[in-house]
Amino acid sequence: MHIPDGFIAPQVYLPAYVINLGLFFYALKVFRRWLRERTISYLASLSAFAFVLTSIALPLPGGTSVHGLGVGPMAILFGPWVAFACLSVVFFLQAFFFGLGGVSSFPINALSIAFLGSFSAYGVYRLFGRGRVALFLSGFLSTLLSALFIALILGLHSYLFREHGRPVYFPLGFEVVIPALLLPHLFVGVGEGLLNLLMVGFLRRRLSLEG
Amino acid sequence: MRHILVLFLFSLSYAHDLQHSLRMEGSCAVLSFYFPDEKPFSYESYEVLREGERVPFQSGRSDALGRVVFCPDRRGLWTVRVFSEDGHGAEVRLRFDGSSLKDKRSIFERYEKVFVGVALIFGIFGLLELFVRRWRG
Repeated sequence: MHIPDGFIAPQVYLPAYVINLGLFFYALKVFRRWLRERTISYLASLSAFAFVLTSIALPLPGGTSVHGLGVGPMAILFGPWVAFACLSVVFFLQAFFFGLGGVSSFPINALSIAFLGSFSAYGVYRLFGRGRVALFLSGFLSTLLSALFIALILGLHSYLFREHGRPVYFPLGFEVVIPALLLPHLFVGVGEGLLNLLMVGFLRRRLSLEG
Repeated sequence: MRHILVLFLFSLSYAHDLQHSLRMEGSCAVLSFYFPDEKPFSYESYEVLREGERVPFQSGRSDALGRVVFCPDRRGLWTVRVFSEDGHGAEVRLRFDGSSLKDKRSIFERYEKVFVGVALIFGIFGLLELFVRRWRG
């Protein structure tokens, strides 16, 4: 789901950088206010887990591949702002040091997966009653929403930025990019839902044991 | 001063990291060798060895773009060794199945980025813990 360099126009990624930076600094404030020493190891482990999940591509039939996100457990257990701050660091490292996702497209990746993914995972979980169904739906729907946001941003480029009638940046329209991103992410969403079910319950028990 | 020395040593180690990419052109392999700053490993010696053989199948020097091209004639493991007089070099092992070549990397090489990334994240949170102790303490 990471967008590489060259697909996003400067007219889009520059404002996105500004928005992302503003949100990140606010998230850091929340993070600092909320942070406790005993939760750092959990946040480190969940961030590392998200790094691994988002780095390893799993092949799907039809020649495409997808990767997991690992957003849900962090957003549900520690709140969306904390999850956004941690995941932004993960995507920053991936884009600037490891070539996973472009430097120019970093704010779009961070906004779609770290921000929208965290807030939608948290919101869906609360909306559906905080039970097991809510946990599953939280992982499933947040994945699809992140994928849809990326598809909309990419698809929009083929209409907005054209020279001599040809797209300059991402070339494919909504009719191609939306199904191309959403269909494979149905599988990822199911995986994320199951991951939420497995991890949130376990980690919550661990956290409550520590008081 | 100590920090500058560490940065200098780090930059040197980075500069020695010879990287490569592989693609097929018909039945031939095109291996491109380059440094992390995209500078090609040009005009340097190389040798290509068949599996289990010591006499090179092919030898020569990489071209201006740092490329080594060879056409494997049998299935098996192929080793490409590039080296310069000043000690830079790399050994790449490729598996040829009759139609395609696969880079035979170790598990560490394949998931190097993931290992380093995870270590970095734990390092960042480790530092954060020190600050939290100071804030709360």
